[in-house]
Formats: sequence, C-alpha cells, structure tokens
Amino acid sequence: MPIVPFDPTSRLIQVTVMVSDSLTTALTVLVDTGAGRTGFRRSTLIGLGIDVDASEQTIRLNTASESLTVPVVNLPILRVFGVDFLNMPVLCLPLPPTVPADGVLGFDVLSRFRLFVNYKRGLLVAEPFGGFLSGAKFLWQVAKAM
Amino acid sequence: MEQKGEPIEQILERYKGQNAFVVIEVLSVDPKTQKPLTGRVIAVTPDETEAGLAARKAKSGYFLIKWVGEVEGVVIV
Repeated sequence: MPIVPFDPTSRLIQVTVMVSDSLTTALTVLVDTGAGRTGFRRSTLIGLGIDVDASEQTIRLNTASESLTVPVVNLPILRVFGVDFLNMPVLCLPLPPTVPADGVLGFDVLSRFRLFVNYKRGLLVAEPFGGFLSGAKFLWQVAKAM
Repeated sequence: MEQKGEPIEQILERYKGQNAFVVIEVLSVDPKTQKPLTGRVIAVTPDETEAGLAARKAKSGYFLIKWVGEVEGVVIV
C-alpha cells in the first residue's frame, strides 16, 4: 500500500488500519507525527475484546495540554500500510469524542516507514524501510504523488 | 459479511447531533478497500465504555463506533 489517499479538506491525515484477532476490523486513525506512541480509544479497544482495566502496564503520557497515566495493552495484529505489527503494545487514549478517529499512529509505527505527504493532493506515500529496492520504489511513488 | 444492511452514511445521518456513540455492526464492505458500506445499529449511548461493550456483540466481528455530535470548528493539536 505505497500511496494512501486522504481528504485534505478535513485538515487531518485520516487513514485506515486493520486490526485482527480471529476476526478483522478496519479502523480509522490519524497519522500524528507529533505523537511518540500509537494508541486507540477506550471504546475501540473494549470492542476488540481487550480488557483495558485489567492491564498491568501503564505509562505516563505527556500531551500538548496535559499529563496523565494511561493503560498499555497488546494488539495481536495491527496492519498498517500493508505491514503487520504483531503483539503491538498500544496506549488506551482518552480521545475526546469529537476527534473523528479511532486512534492515532505515532512514532513507534511511523518510524518503520519512509513517509511523504502531498497535502494539496491528499496523498500519503508510505514505504517500509528495506534496502535499495524499497528506497527506489519509494522515490518512484513520490514522483507519482507529486 | 453476506447480509445486507443499511448504508453507514444513512445510519449516521439519522442520529446526527445526538451527542452519542453509535455502535454499528458492519455487514458489507468494499471488496477493494475493506471500508464499511452497510451495517446495522447495535447501540446508541453517550458512554464510551458501554459503546465498547456493545461492539463486542457484533457477530461479524467488524464494528464501527462513531460519535454523532457537533464537530464543526474543532481543531486538533
């Protein structure tokens, strides 16, 4: 999935990721280059069958406006831009209801990719790191997204 | 995923402005993008935990939890 379209008029980069256990669900997330960690809404994690209140791990989270402690849970499979992340630790985020997404993709996931964003056209190029061919493919996709 | 349902957009339009989470079981998806096309309403609640628990009732395993309230003018930083 090298070129991912998004709606540039929404002023957010919303993309679809897949989460899976025995069944697969598609979720809408924000590409957030300012976030250190990937996280999902409480309702989404509960819906996926994860008991967030039973999580033994928590993390101190500093956002742009506040500091708070949130649970950390493992997602069996998280598929982002065609790449599978297994047993991925993600945060349970208290996202306000008005945020039009199920979660955010942070540095822990995004740093696995070369990224290019064309805000005007609403195109995101995401290519996983992986040698010369991957780099050449990325440049080719960027040229198409320009 | 073979069952038909109501278009997702139509469902969300019906509950628009209620300041609640609408929990939808997805019944059909776009075969190319896997994005949801149709579904059925499982629950409508302002409580996020309740919405998550309701989503577990989706027999297909594919659910959507959408907030239906005022989002105009919201800026995310």
